[in-house]
Amino acid sequence: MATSTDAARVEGTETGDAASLGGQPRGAPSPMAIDPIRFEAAVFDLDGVLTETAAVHAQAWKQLFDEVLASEAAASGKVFQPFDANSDYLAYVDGRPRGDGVRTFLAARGITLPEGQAGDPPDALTVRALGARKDAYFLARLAQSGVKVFPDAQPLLASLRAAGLKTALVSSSRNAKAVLEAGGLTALIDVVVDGVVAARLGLKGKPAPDTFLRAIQQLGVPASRAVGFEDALVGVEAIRAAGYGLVVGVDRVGQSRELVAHGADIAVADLQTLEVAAPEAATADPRLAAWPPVTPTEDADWLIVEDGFTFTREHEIGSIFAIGNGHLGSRGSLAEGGAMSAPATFVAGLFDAGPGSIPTLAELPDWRYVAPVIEGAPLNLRSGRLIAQRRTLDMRQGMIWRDWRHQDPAGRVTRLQECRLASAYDRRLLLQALALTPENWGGAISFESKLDGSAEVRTSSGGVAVVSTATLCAVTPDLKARAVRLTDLTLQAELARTWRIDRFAAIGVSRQDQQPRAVAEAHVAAARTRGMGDLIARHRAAWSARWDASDIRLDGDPEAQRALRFAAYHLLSAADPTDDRVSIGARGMTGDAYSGHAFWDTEIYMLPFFALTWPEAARALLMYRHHTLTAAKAKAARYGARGAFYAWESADTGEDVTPASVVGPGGVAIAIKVAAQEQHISADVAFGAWSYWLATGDDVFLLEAGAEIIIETARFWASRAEPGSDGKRHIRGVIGPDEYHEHVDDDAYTNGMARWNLRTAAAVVRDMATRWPEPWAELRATLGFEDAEPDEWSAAARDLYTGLDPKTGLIEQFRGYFALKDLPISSFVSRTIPVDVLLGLDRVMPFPIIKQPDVLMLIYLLWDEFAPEVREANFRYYEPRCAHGSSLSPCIHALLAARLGHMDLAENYFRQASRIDLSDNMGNTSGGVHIGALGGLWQAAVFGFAGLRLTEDGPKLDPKLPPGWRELSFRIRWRGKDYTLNTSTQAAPARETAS
Amino acid sequence: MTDTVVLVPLDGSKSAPRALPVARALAELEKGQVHILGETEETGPQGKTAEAILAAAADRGAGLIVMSAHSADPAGAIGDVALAVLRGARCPVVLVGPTRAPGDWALRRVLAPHDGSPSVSHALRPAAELARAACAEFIVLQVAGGERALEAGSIAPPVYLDQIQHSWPAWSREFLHRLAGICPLGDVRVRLRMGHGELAGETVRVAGEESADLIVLAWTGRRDDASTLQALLRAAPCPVMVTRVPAS
Repeated sequence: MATSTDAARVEGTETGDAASLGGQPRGAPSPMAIDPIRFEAAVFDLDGVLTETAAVHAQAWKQLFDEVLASEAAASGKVFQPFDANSDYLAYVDGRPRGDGVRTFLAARGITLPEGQAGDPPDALTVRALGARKDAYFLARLAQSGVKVFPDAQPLLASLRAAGLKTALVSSSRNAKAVLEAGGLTALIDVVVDGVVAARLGLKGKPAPDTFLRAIQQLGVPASRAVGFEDALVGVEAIRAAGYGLVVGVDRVGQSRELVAHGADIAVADLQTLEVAAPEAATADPRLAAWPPVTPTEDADWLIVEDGFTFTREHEIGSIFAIGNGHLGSRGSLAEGGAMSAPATFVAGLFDAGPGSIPTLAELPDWRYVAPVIEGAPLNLRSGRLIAQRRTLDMRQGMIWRDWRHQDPAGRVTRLQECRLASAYDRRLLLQALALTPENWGGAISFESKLDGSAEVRTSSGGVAVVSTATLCAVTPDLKARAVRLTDLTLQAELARTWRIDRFAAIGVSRQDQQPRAVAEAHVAAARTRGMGDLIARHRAAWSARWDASDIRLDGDPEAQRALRFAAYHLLSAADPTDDRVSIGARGMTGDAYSGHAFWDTEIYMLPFFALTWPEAARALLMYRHHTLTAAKAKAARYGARGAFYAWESADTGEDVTPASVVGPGGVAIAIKVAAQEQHISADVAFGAWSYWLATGDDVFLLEAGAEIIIETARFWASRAEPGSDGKRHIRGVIGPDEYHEHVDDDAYTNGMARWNLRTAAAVVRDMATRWPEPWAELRATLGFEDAEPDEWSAAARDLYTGLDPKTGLIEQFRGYFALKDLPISSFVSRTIPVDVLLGLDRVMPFPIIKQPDVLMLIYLLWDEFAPEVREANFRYYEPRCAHGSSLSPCIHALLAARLGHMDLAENYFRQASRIDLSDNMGNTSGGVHIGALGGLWQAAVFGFAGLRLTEDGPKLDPKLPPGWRELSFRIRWRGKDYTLNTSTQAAPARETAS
Repeated sequence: MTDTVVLVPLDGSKSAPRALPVARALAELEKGQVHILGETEETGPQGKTAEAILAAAADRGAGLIVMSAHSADPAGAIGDVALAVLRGARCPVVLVGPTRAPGDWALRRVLAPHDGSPSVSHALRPAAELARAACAEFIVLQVAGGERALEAGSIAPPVYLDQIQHSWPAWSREFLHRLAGICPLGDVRVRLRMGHGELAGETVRVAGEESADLIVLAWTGRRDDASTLQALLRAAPCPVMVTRVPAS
């Protein structure tokens, strides 16, 4: 339950008897603030809150029940007691689904009726028939009298949305959308959860919290960040049960005390007593915090540290030290810039046309550029003498630190300290705090800045993002804050007195906000009022909660521990569970390499981490794939196939944005064929959807999205699997994960995953038809489903060519692979570049050298389908033939080697994988960290070394740890329960913790 | 370059004058002058000849030495004098092979092998200035397969190319960006090529492929690096500029 203390603080009122608010003198009620930093969403009931249709409903119910009661009285001889449109309505009907209302009221009169069926005649005495009759009476009255919107509703809705809050409507009525439309409110509501949705998804009516939970799930907002508005007693109970951060009882009928008694934090008779604003500053005389504004983490296992300055490494540093919250990502580049500085800040889902019109993540105005000018001379690393510099990625707290002491050419020594973060609490916010101390001088300090106030970026497709900044500065010892513009600011610095600067940046984006500038400016003003200390505290708390769920602890190998936390840090920084219109690009938002495009990396390499430690984020990623089904189906059609053929590279729309060619290392153009041929991605997406459902039991996801993904991708495979003269079916002309071999037939991974996809789709259809017949009936109509399809899929799966040689247990990677002449990989042990670059792809293709696991990837993902001897035989065969031309390769080899007990190999591969971004040797990280490989590293630890298996009986471990590793522990959530899993030198059972 | 004196030592051999067209062209690019060091002036025993050349270069503030590279040993490509000049010169030395055809020479395309280290980037500055003056194309060649540069800030050939359509442009952009951070290229047209195998052979191959007019080799001056230099000079289809890189 939300605490009343928190709610009261948020409101800016004193704690006390909330019911007394209803008794306030008329005339000028003091406004109560809904803090747009504290809350992300507002969810409204319809009747009695936004519209005056409650009275229409009450009269319709009276008309119905009076007919029934009169008939009953006539038949029984009892006195007719009519339905009271006030007391009976409130007590038995208000807020309940129609059927519940019928049953509840009649039960109160001692009357029980049969349930009946949809389509019962209107005069039938069944619950269903009476509900339908009431609906007809309501619509008739509505048509006659129209919809009256409460005068206080629209202004509040508008101000909430202007401040950037999302809005939803929850109503038991099946006519909610019609009422909204008639009242002119549709444009002010993002999501509607009405009686139709509730019936389709099997959601229980109020006072159960189901519909309110569904609303915030659709909005992607945690319950604690949502405000709920209800006028019905069962309604406030439902919102309270859903765990909303603030429950507002809307008292239209004089029942404030009852509303509070049933769970409302406050009761208001007039919505205009609420305003959207930050709370007043805690004191009349606000101060900035002394440095540091928060204690940095000291435990080295949580830190990535860079001492000194190697300026040619600055691009890599920018990537490694990037901050993000899934909605925003900002590179960890030097605040004052430099020749080798490549700052960039991105907002998820905002793409602009890049070279060749390939969409690429748009860069936002540079909010964090702060270049001090000391007595007219810029302070930077290019001139003078670096005394010391330490930059720290504080993974525990999700922020970066800098401590820099520098002597300029004039001999002045200045210390600049900085911290920077992308708020995990409020995803619109980026925060920067600085401290400047003249150590041996005094004089004037001015600043160069690239953004003071607001600036916007517009994309070629009409997208707009606005960054709005605000700055406070203060000086020791009193640190009294004043608002400033950096570019106008000149400080008179005194020896050893520290100047503090706090910078706030908020982003509004047209994809989500109707008025991005207004949202950004309101938000930054609210942030500045709240202050850095409060915002950092909330940010830290959010990261603490994330680490509670997602941390992985390794005892015995500090380097590996840091690498695993680095992996988790960047995965957590890349995901936004509140936005299901974006995916995670191959480099996240840590750099511009890969243009922000998403690949199969997301579902196969990253998703397992989220599905088991942050399911809400996993769900959002999969909903992106659902939203882009239209584009996938269009691509399939273009290639003459049915179903869904997902884009190899995907940006915002789901259309395939893979470049057609590239000028390669030899200076010659290379045609890029993966978009057409690397088709396994369709099965990968389906596998991700299925894996998420298995991990969470999220039936609603399966019903509304997962099933459709799995079915449409199965249709694709059914249309691609061609009958051959051998009685088998074949998928021809593809590229598997091993991209060294193009246009092959019957790639093992592709066929294997296609088979899985087909079988799973058939099982899903059977399951849905049995467990959810009504939703299935609706879905099959949408899909144009034919009854013969599951059998066709099962047959195709049965007949698909496998490549398995039963004598040897080896699976041929593609038709003809075993006939290729072997070339010893040992020739390339000391190779320094991928072998296709070393020799040229056309020279590699005739040989069985592979780029990354293909057969072995299949064996990993479908582990239980292969006998132990098959797993071992194929590992021994393919591992030596893999040239690891992809960063996605070493992690899977580490995992498999560990599972199979080849510990030296496992550890070696793990080290390779762990050093992809963190070692100083490649330059690849300059464009962003390898988030897929980081997800694979986590999998190597969890599924490889810890040997996690997820069974019907729950999670089990089969640990095989390298010699130096004493213990590995981590938490997962499996089917709604939290487990703490622990290994040691002896196997330890998983322990279920309180859920 | 700090000077515009282009010093051309002539030792009386038949091949020595082949350096002159190259020297004249370079001097013109540098808006400088060619100073010829004739055999009658300061020739003497071999060791002194090198000393004399170096002394003259120092006295005249030569920004460039252009000389013929030939060896009494048929198997060698560079004589002891030239080698000694290479080791002792404070300015770049352009070696013109004995097989170079007489006649004019123009700088249109520079080929510079590069190991990814900041030192080599620094050593390429004189060549970059020439390319800028000549509006020549500057082709940087990284030859994979050899020892990785260990200097801090070095960029090695990419170990992984996940998706070549992205990884290669990103890596090559980074490589060239690091180069430009140390060796200002201005508006010089720059391309990055990747080769593999043995440095000298690959350089010669690519130089032929690209019709390079000048190969620029950053050389530590260590004896064990001389074999690469020899191999390169033996087969180079064009003059080779040698610039010094600190050995440490």
